[in-house]
Amino acid sequence: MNKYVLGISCYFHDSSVSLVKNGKIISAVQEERFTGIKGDSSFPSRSIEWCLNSNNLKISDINYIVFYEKPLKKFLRILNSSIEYFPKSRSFFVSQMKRWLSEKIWTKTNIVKKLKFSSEKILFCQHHLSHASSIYYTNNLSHSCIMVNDGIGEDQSFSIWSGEKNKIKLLDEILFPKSLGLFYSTMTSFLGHQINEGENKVMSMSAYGNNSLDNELNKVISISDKNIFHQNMDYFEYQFSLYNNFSNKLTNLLGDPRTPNTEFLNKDLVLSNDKSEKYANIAYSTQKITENIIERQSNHAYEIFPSDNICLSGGVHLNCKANNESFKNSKFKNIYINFCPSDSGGSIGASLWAWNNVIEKNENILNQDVYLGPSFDNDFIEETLKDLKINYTKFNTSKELLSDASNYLLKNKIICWFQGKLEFGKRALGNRSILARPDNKKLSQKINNEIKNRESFQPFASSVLYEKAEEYFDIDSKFKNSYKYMSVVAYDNKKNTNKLSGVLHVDNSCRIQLVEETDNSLYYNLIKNFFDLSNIPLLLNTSLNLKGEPIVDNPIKAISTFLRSNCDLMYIGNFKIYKND
Amino acid sequence: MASFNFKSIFKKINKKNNSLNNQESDFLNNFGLAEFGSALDMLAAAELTTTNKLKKGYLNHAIDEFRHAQLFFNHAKNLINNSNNNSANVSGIAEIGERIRYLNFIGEKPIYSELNELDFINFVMISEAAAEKYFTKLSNNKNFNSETRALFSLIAKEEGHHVLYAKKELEKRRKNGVKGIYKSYLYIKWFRFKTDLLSNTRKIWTKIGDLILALIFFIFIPINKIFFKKNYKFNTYDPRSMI
Repeated sequence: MNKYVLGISCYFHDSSVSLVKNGKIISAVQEERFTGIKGDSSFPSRSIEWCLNSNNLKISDINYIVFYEKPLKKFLRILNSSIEYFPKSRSFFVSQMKRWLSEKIWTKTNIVKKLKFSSEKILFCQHHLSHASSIYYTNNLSHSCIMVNDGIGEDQSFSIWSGEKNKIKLLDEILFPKSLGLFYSTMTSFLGHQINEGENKVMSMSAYGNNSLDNELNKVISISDKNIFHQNMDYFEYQFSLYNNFSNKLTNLLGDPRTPNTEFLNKDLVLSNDKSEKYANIAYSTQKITENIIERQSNHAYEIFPSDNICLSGGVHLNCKANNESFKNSKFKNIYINFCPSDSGGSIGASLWAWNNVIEKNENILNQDVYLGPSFDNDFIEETLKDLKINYTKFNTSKELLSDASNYLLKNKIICWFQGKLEFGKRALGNRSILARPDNKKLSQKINNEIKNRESFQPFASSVLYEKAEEYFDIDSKFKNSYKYMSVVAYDNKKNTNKLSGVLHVDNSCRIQLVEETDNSLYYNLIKNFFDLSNIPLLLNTSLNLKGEPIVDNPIKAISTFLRSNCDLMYIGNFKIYKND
Repeated sequence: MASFNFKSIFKKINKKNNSLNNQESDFLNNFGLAEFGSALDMLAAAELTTTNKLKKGYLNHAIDEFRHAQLFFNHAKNLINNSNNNSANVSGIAEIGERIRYLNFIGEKPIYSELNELDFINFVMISEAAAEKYFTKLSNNKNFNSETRALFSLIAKEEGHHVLYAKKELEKRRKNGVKGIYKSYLYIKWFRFKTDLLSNTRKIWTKIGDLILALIFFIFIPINKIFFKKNYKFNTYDPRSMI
């Protein structure tokens, strides 16, 4: 008889649901994809409904529901912070209590009421244990060290775990308010970007800076032999404030924070003024210190649990540059970072943890499929196009579709690509993507300025044929299991630089996705067709969404995005639609 | 489509001095978020409707609302860039989501799925008419600069077009002998009144709640601080427990 576990993460950011059947993840989706609200933190009703309906299940078929953290433990931490920082914590206390008393504290009751599910079968995993499980149990490793690094869970901000014979055990931890993740988020806010959204922009800005502010930043946070790192909390306010992350002391140290959306690079893509230079240097030092601390953390992890493998999870490990720099000289031989290191992966981790620890105690299954969301057949798409009175061209075979799309890519067209099942996680991995040829800088600038409305310093990722990657990039075999999820940057190896001008960042790095035919055959063959025509085995790949919106889930949202964008064409299932239609 | 809470946003902004670019920018951003939420409502309607002929109308309406949102966001951004604002209090992405939900009363299900098709068309017509009226009023408000007023005027005009589309659809149904159109109109009037009331009540309760929580903070937290132990630890571990 089949056994099912439903994992839920919500009420913080990036709500999501995952459904495990006999140890295998069969469906997973983030709530934002259905609601259209980026980073949606609400109870994931629509995701649950989709997970059940798409697998012809009723809620009564579910054996366990697992929540990704321990809400009351987190509540007590917040209460303790309010007490410790009294009286400065007044507005923090009031706003947090409003949120908690109206919703979060009733997590169990909410699940019971909303889903009509027995409270006896509701489990609660710990936040960092969910993260650890999301990476360890998806890779089927018998022996691995696990490192979790994020802003804050219940009270942990960093933890080291052992993964042995299917069991995960806590070895070391760092507790709130000390937090590398919250330090990075604070600097993100200082540099004028949204927390939990703009961290990658700080990473991008850092490439324009130098180390002239290292000494100043070292006063804020620095490596320590005794406790991995030392963080001077006088520079922060996140421990007792919801809205101000940094204190006046940080402003006194670094000057005025950056006003959001102000120019950073000028039209020639160089730093526009002295202020931009200062912000670039702040970003540089922030990134560098983060990389150094992660390296120190990983050395410590190796000391207490030597292994060939290390699994990384938590939002900090979305920083693909730090992932590369911090582990370049690591003693670990294999670095595993998967498609869901952030909180949305909490539902996946929680459900796999329950499977491996509560239901089946000795069975770990390889779970590396990232395409876990909704898909739409050609009949449905055609009907939608007809209803919307959109003219289209229909391809009878995939071969025709691929040939047409790769020809247009060759002709410098920017295409929307909507195929198969929706990807889980932050990255578009070839099923909901905007694609272009990678050797045309003007195209990447057009995508930044006219399509995605991103800041001009933000670089693009590229999807590369697995077997050709070494001809273009310095590929480190340590990361072979992580490249396919766009989790690590690689540097241009100078053999074919002219073919990478649209995707290389100013420091010659590129966030790459290595694509194998076994992972995504249609996408692999699109790149392969383009390679046959152009002799370039890669494509510029950015997510199919516009600014402030999540990646699209269904044909209507995809068409809405396409019609509002400056993309030239859209390939949706076996159909092509044009802008002038 | 107008958000239910638009009225209160307007009241606040009317009291502001036009030199306060930052506050004006905040309010414009709120309009932007409200329009964005409305676009999501219309997009959901386009996804869910079984009346194929309406799919395109809903999609076009959603695209208009997305454009309105962008116009508000861009204008707000320009206001900030033209002022000497050095504030970097940037909201987290989840807070923006909460604001979209709050401004638009977005629940767990799209509003379309809570109403039938006829009710939804009436809902669009009534909401858009309210938005047109408010934006027209704002476009004549001398407290705003000419660019902001021109923006309000443009949006008002387009909301007016949406009212006409909805009216036309209702008229078509009336001619086809569909019954209960006026009943549906009255129901939506009541529905909106109810949600407006709920919105205002929510604001009052929020204020009362803030006051009670502040009292708790000043009475109980200092007492607890005396007995406060920093390094609390939970050693027991039960997968069924929330702690």
